[in-house]
Amino acid sequence: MAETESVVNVEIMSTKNVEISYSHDIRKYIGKKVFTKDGEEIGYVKRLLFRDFECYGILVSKRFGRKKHFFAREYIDKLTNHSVILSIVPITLLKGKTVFDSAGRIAGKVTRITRLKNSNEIDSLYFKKGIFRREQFVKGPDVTLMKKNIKLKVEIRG
Amino acid sequence: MDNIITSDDILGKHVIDEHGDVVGVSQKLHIDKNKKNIVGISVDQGFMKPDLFVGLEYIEQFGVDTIFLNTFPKDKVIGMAVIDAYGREVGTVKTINFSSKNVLISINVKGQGKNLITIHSSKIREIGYNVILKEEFKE
Repeated sequence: MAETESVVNVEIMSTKNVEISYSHDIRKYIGKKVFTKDGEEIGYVKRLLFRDFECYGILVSKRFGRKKHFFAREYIDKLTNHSVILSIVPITLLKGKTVFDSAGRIAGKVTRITRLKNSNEIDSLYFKKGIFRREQFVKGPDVTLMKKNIKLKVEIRG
Repeated sequence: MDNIITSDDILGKHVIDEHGDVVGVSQKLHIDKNKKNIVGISVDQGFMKPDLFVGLEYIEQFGVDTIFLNTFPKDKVIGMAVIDAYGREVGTVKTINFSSKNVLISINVKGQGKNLITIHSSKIREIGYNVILKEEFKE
């Protein structure tokens, strides 16, 4: 209701038939929770970024985290004034997850991931079983993402 | 003989559901003494939690270190937040209803009001960390 009252005494300048009471103030999206495709809450909207007058993407931050994530518009499923739902599970969040090989062995935990350019596709997945063990890696096509952990399509020995 | 495993290869292993979550540790093998075949395993879910019986049909693979399931315990859904397709938080799952064949029928959600809202499983898009609905929820 407050929004409607604020647009009553507004002079509209546009060549198109515009109804501004149906539009959303950008400030409504800031601070809203961001969920992955699986429903995991990964942070909140810190900023909306625009390019050529169109929403280009969102900058997401965790409450007490330093690292921010930028999600381009193509990875956003729903952007509403309630929250944001992504259309992906960001692979950057896989660090620390447990890796199982195709034989059901615990291969280790994810130490780092290299991506294909800036996309959400895995180029290589690096994992390690313990502090003193050698870091191993597999290529993206050999990785199956379960919701909470990772299963490989290959067997890892040693 | 490569395909033959023993109870030592099954008991004491971590049991992983289809979401990759650790359900517990396999404790017992259940055998039908008339048909002389394995019907399932009991999983120790941890301190103060009841044991979970998993039928053989829900076991996908007996791995070297783990046992993989092709399903997930439906009780896991209890306590999850329910978010509609427009990102609005509808409430929290309080109870679930499922059929005798372990198929999820509906979930009962506690929203802001006192009444429980029943949502049919056909309206659920995804169950992962939380429950995501297919459409906008309208009370």
